[in-house]
Amino acid sequence: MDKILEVSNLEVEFQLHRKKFKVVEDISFSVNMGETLGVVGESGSGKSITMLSIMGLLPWTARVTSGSVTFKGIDLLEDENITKVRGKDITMVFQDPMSSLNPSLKIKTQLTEVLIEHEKLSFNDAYSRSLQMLNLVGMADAKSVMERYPFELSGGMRQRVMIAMAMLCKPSLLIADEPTTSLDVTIQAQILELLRGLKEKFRTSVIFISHDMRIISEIADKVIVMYAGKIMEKSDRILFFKQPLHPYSKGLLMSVPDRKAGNSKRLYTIKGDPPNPTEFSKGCRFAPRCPYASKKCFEISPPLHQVKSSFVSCWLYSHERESVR
Amino acid sequence: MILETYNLKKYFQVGKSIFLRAVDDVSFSVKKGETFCIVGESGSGKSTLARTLVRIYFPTSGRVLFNSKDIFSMSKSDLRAFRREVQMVFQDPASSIDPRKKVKAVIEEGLKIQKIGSKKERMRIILDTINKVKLDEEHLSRYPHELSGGQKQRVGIARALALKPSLLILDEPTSSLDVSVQAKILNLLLDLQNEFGLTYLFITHDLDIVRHIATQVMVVYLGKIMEMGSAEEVLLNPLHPYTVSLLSSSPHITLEKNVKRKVLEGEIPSPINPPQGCPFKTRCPLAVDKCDKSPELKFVQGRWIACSMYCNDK
Repeated sequence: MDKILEVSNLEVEFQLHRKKFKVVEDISFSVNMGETLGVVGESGSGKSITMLSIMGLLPWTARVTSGSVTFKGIDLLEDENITKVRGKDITMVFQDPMSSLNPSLKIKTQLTEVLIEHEKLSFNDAYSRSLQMLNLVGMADAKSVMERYPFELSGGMRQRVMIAMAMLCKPSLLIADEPTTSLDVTIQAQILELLRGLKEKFRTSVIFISHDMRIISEIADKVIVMYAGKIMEKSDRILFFKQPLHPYSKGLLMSVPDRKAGNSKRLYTIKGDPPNPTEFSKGCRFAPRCPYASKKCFEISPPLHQVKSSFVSCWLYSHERESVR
Repeated sequence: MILETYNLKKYFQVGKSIFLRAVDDVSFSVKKGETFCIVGESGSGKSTLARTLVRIYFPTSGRVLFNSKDIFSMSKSDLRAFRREVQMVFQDPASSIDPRKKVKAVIEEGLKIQKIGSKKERMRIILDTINKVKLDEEHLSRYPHELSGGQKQRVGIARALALKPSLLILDEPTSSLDVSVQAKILNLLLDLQNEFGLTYLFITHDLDIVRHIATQVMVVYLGKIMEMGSAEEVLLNPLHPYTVSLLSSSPHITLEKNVKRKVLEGEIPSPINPPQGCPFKTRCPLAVDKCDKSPELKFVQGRWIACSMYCNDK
């Protein structure tokens, strides 16, 4: 299997009121060709910031302070390199299609622009390729959609336009940041089906970010769980959903309402709230909320331990081999 | 019965003799102490229905009875009591709480309007309420933007609870929250219901949540009732093709390699120009000719259902 993306020891720092905060720390993972990596975490866990730093789209108050991002052998942290592949070989679909499409341009202008810019096509060639792609993403009446503005489309249609735009240059990597969160369940099912089909057709690797374990279990090949800016667990999908290792992963999975359970049953909850990046503790960041936390957990941050083929950042597994990073 | 509606219709005029039928001939009743869930996609009229039930909108026709009194022709004193007893919790706490008020003022406002208690007594009620929703006293002097999403939603619930209501209308109260926070809010709602015998009218599109909390379920599509009955019947043995496809579209944790599911095609049609006959026929996998005639809501196999498959045979 070919590795197409490798992120190692990534660290991102924000500056606020002249103080500096590390929001993302020690992030290492890789994505193989044709593989879907699911990234799970609550809001504030750093999942979006990690993806934005891969894309070179961090806000100006943030910067990557250490680590590396390598895509097909080139260093993406160099501005020059990322501008060449962004929107072409690595593309991104965001949560809210309304605010990521340009509200004042027709769909045809926004779609053809991609091909004119990246593949230097003429407008007519770009138009027919765009129309083809709209049809491919299952857009009904694609020709008239090309002439419309984003506000004239429904949420599901807008997300299809975003996906079409992301797939135009047949990218090797698609980063989908909560692409179905704002959609209805029936439309969500359609979009997931579409992403699955496109992935197979173009052999595109996908990084799928979601806070919904149910979706991750349906679409991912590998799973990463993030909490407070760190990776808590890295695992294969089947292993992860059969037997999650980290107490946080277990807690998250148990708090998902289960259709098979009877009604009026209390749900499992994780006590407390996630910490602010301004007040990360020095030990394991999950320790204050962890039911198994011991003294050591509050003092020393656990490294990733390897358990079978999974990796978990937790002292409970300290008898297992420490992973060599 | 705490709440009853009869043939409720709410049309919005959007042009010369063009109407948007947000709620179209809906009748149902809610018993005291139960959790009545309304399920449907966006554009199905759930929120309009909720807003009509609390008199934010006036209906085009039909009646709404609260404790057997018509809420649109109540005496002034009954109306005052109604406004205290029926409270609403909204989807997005960030936009439904005044950002310029501190939490204490947010919770106190309703009490002041209802002229409940002296300043001292109100403070006692506020402290009491804040305890019930598991916030601390120190939160009272904070502004909404200083709170997390879950805490804001607790303030939203506290604001409703302070007035000791009997009916809470909850419009997607957890859909903007993370799962772990959602679990806490749902547990809180269950506890409060047990403690105070509250009745919930719960609007959501997440069927797994419905399974957890609902005693009764009503599935709506384009302003019309598709299927309605006890949660057990409707969710474990759904009959209407729309309920079936909603259930099969919603994701669940799975170990299967390739999840193949029935995906409902197309999108919800515009309520300005809904299909003739059964509103769902344009997307229904089982649609036949007789679906061109509007199906009546009939009682079949322990639940109400509007589908020609079950209705016209008998």
